[in-house]
Amino acid sequence: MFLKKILGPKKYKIVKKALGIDHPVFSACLGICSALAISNKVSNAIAMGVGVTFVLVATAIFVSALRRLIPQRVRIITYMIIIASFVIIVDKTLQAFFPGISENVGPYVGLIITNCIIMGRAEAFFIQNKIYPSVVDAFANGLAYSYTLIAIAVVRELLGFGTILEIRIMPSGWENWVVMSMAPGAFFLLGLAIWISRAIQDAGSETEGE
Amino acid sequence: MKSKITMILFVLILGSSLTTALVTVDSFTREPIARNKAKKLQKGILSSLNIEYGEDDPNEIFSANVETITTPGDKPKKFYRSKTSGDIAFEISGTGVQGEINATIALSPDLGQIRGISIVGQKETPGLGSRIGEAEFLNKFKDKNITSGKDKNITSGIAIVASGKAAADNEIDGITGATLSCNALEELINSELKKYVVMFRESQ
Repeated sequence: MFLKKILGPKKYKIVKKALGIDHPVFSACLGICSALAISNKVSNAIAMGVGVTFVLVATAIFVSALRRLIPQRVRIITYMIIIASFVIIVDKTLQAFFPGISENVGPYVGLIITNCIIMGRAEAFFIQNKIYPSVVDAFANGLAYSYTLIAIAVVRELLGFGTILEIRIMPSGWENWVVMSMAPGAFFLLGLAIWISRAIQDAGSETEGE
Repeated sequence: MKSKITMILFVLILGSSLTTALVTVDSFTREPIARNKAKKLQKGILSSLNIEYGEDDPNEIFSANVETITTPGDKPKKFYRSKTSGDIAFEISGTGVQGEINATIALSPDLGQIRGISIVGQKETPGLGSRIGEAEFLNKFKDKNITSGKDKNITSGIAIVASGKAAADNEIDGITGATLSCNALEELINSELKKYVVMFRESQ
């Protein structure tokens, strides 16, 4: 409960919600597209997770700071402009300093713009809250998205390429499961993960009810 | 009136702050991005020309061993000649199964044989089509004839055939499981060769 102490009960609740019942991927099924496309290798998943978290936090700061100024009628376009600018920043940074990863992640960095987690959080949370809680919420959601991506990527890279972070894990006779390195493999895994997480949640809520 | 002023203020604040951020990032990243791109091309050219280079900056080895020839005309094309062997290398590109394939190819000085080929960028299916980028496959292109018949000036191109079936001196064993990508690669190599070999001859 160390986290609870530094953040205070209100912010702690935000984090707990993002990682639990309001988990962006498992509960709200947001950001599925990129989770399927990018989770074939752990290094790609980490880059994507960091990218999305950065864009989320930056968007949180901008939207919550300007929340009194943003006209109601153009708020969605405003989110898009803000998100798009930060996505370009992430893309350029990857191209300049991590060319290898940039090549692998390719067009999916650009698609962060359409990642519903960011739009969803902007509309549901950042526009109504102050900067600090918004940043906490952005971090928590980014973290939830990243760990999901990385967990799926670990399984996919291990089965699909026999490696983790390009380090050989499987014995040399290992036959790669090609399906795991392609999008359908991610579908199976993500489906399983959502099933398991919901089952756990249901079990949890039942015991609470008793 | 007040709402209009708020609107203008809002657009100004948002526009100026985001533009500043983008311009700053651009000024920091423009040079490294251009450098990465040039480096990748240089590495591709060097490996097609079979010139060894270390893992770090290929620039020095490139400028010491390779001479750049630019054709005149509206659409200049760059050819790269090895100073030691006289082999000619150039960039080729075309569509693969999943997206664009960019490669570099090196030919013998008489433009009759392939000396080397390397894939600079591709988006083929990981584990299947992407294997066209593996060195084991690309090494098979070495010393293949791209001319047929008596007239050595006519470029007929190569053929990627089923694995283990290569017999003629322009045939290359394909990869099982990467048939479509191999076909796409064959088509792209042949059409680009026909185009650029003629262009290079004319410029000489």
